[in-house]
Amino acid sequence: MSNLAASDFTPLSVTDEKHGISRPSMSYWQDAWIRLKANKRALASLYIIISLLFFAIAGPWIWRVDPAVQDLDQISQAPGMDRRAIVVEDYQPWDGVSLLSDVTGLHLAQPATSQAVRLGWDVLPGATGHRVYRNLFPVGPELAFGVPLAEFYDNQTLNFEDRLDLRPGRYYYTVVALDSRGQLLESFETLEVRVRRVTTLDEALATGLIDEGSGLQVGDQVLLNLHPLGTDSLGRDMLARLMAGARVSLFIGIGAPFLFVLLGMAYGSVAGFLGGRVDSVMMRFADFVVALPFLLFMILFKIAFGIGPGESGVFPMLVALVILMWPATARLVRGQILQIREQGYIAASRLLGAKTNYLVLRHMIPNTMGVVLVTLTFAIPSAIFTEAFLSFIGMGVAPPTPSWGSMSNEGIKTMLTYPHELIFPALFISVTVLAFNLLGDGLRDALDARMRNQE
Amino acid sequence: MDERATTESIRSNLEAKYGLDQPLMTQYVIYLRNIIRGDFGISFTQENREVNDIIRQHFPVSAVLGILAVVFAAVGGVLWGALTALYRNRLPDYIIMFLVILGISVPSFVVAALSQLLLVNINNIFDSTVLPVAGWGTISHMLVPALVLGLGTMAYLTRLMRSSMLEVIGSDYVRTAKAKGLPPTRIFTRHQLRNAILPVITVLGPAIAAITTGGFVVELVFAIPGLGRFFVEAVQQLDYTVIMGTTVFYGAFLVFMVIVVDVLYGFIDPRVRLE
Repeated sequence: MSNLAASDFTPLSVTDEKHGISRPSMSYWQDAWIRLKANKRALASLYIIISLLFFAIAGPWIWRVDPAVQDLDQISQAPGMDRRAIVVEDYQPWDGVSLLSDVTGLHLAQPATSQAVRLGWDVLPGATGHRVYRNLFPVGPELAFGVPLAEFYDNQTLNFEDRLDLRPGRYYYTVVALDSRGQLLESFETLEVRVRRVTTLDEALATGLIDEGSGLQVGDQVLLNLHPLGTDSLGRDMLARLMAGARVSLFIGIGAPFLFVLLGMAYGSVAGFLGGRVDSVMMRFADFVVALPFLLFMILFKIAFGIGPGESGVFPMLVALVILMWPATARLVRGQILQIREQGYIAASRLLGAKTNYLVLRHMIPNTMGVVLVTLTFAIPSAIFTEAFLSFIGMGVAPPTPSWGSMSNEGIKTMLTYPHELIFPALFISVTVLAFNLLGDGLRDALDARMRNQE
Repeated sequence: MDERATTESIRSNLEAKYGLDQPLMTQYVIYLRNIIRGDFGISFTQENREVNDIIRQHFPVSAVLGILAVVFAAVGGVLWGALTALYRNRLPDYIIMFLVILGISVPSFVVAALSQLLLVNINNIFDSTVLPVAGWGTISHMLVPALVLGLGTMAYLTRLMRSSMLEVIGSDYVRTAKAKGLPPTRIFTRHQLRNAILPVITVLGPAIAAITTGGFVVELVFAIPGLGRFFVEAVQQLDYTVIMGTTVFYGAFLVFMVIVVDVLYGFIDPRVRLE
């Protein structure tokens, strides 16, 4: 203590150097955005969602095909780019004369086309009659012949013309011998037939594939309308329908959550801010809405609104969703507001003379935004599911308006024969729901400080 | 006059039969009085059938299916969730979480249809009916529909259980238990599972409601004669007494289930028991 000099007590020279802030100041949202960007899954989901929105909004401008137009040449067409068809003459009734008469056994009398398949055969051993079957699959050991097409109770008629709903592709025709009482005998013959797609000049003209003066001859090739993702059971273009369906599904799936989160936010913040009796009355009403059986009321609302002919039913579904789903958000926001209300900065702001409006709009609501955004992201998949679910049981969007749910409903009926009609809409629903779920996870991790060190 | 039009006298007779000639308020009071007596009236479309009978015959089917689905969902969710937390960031975790994500994002009607297809193929391989593809009656009819019905909830519960289990695993009392030298199985059953299960119980009430009222699709796909199908049909045919009856009944059931879960919660977590 003794070796202090007088110089130790002179003031230090004053410098202009201020306290440097070592890192740039960052707002809550900038911080969250950086954390979200680091989450690869969430970022990928964000890109998927953006491209889905692009698909829905800009898609119909690029792929200009009317989703309601039926292409009867290409019903239930599988996805693919092959759209060649041979021009043939108009349909002529067949007299049963076999053009390839030197062939024995079950044979094609003429090349098989989607216009007609003409079969001829010889009398099977022991037969007093024949029955003709058609199958999409090989007959196999279990003798699955398929659809019975015709029966003949004598051995005179040994030819058959099939015009029933023929599509390009492979068919298995079987002729089975019948005894005199019409019972099946053991002998049968099977023929694999590849049906080629054909069209007539008149049809091609009528559907606008060729012009009047194109000079197309019978036997030439024409290109039918392109359906990259195939067509549905009514010959409507799948890609166009998926785009139109995306508009409906995403409109309900994003619009409804957006609205009910907004409603819930307003309701919850009022209840939380006012507190006391008003709060408990408002929250009891919210509890009442929660206690309503959700799907039953969705259906009831749909009926109560009533959908006239020609209406799509999108709007009633939107309203029903909003009416039934707001309480969850309201509860959450109320809880947040109750917490925030007691914070020091609110008291400070009040002390500085802030009005109620300012407090709520400037301090309280912005501070609940993180939670609200996460709720919104998780509400979207459930709204999309609800729409799909209702459309699936036929209570949703009215046909012909396509939605992914109603398309799945139609596709599920022909799941085995035309799987693309189910796979595409189901895939779109799944990918959308998945993307929103993963984005929600990412947002929650990025925005919620408590979750930060966990997964 | 089209063929569905009725004459004035038929119309007034019908209105008198269903009490529709009374003023609306009176109708409402009568309806409420009947409900208190447990009488939902007679179906509009199936004229010799009381709504009570419809509920009595078909609700047990839905309830059994729903309860089985909830059991599947709860047991599966708790087990898988605990497993993923214990094996965090290892192979079992990745596999289960991948399945969970599938379960959350694939719509139930697709799962239902695909599982039917799978059943058909299994039955084909074994050349006998291992599990029936559709219908109702025996335990074997119930298993697959219940599993499909509970799948979404199971996936949700798995995620919930995983995060709450992760929280518990890192807690002080688990470390203390380990330090005391308790065997891992005892720590798992007495400390981790019991604490981690609480959030799962909380959401079980709403989940039960969602499952029991959300069985339409599964009932439709698997041809199960449950109440959900009747409700959908009633709505399509504007069968008001059936619509009202099932709605009120389901609402009451839902409230009842939530209360049951609340009581159950008190048993599992003594901290929330009411005074």
